[in-house]
Amino acid sequence: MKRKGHKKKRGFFNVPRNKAAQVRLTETIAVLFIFFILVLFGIIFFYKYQTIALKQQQEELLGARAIDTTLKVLFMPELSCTKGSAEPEDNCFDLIKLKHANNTFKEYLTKYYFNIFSYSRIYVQEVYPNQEEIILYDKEKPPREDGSQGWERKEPTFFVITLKDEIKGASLPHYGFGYLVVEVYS
Amino acid sequence: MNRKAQVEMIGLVIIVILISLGMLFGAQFALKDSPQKKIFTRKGLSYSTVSAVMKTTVYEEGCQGQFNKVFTPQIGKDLLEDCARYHNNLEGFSLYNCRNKHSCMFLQEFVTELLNETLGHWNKRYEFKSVLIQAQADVPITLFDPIINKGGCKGRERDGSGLFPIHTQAGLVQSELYLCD
Repeated sequence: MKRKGHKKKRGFFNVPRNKAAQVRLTETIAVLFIFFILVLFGIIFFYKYQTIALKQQQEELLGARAIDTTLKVLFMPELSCTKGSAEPEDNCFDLIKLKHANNTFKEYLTKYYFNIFSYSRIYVQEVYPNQEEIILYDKEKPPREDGSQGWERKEPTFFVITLKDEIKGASLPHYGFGYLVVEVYS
Repeated sequence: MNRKAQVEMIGLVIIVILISLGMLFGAQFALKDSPQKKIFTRKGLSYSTVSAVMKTTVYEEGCQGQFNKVFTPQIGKDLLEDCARYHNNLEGFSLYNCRNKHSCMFLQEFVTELLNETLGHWNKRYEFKSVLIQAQADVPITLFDPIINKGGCKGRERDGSGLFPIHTQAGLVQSELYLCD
């Protein structure tokens, strides 16, 4: 007697149906795996981007503070070259004022100047005719509780200036050449 | 459209979205402006440098030249004018003889020193030039060789001090400094 054979059900690609389901399941798992890997890459990339963007933003803010402080110093009546009611000279510091400014800044540091300059170091370097360094203001961030340095970065800004010397010239003032350095601490 | 085609379409759309997002990020990086500080520094620094150079009083040996008293000329007011007046013969006569040199030769040497000790010291690239514009001449005359540091600013993003004109007996002397990173 001829036995009637059990005929297997055939599915997609002519693979037996239960096998086809397994292939599909594996395929779906592979696709999901790749998808989640892509998502993970995306998250890592975004995280890195955000970190860099935040750092850049902090740098820009520090840069803006440096500009702000530099402009304040450049136009300070305590330092700039003035003559009576005439307009102050551009990019010019009076040497006599400069030599006494440090004492004034120190004396009124907490009352007045800290609000203007915050944590920063400001000095003038004379280039010609002498090579003198005149420190105007120096207030470093206090160290942390563990004793380490209180600041992470300092942003320097340079500006070339003339140094007016009213004493040297008999009739006309003499002008030296130097630069102003403003370093702000983050 | 059968179901498989629909699924493939969705996959394609997701890929397109991912690529677009990547390109947007890339564009954000590429189109980012130079930081405000860089521009401020370049513009302000170039202007202040030329302004300071022009005012500087020179204390050098031989500056009295033809004068019979100790004389301390200013770069902009005295030396540039002298250079413009006697620029035809750089080995010949000039009123001032600082470092026993013709005014133009001295200016080139001295301004180079000043710029080197400031902008050069901060690793900046720059170009400084002074030209004489005369009514009878078509082309401006270069008073001394342009002072260039680190190859100058050719093909780079640069900012200038603007022109610093000085009226002299020989004509109009214009000085300008270009600064780049």
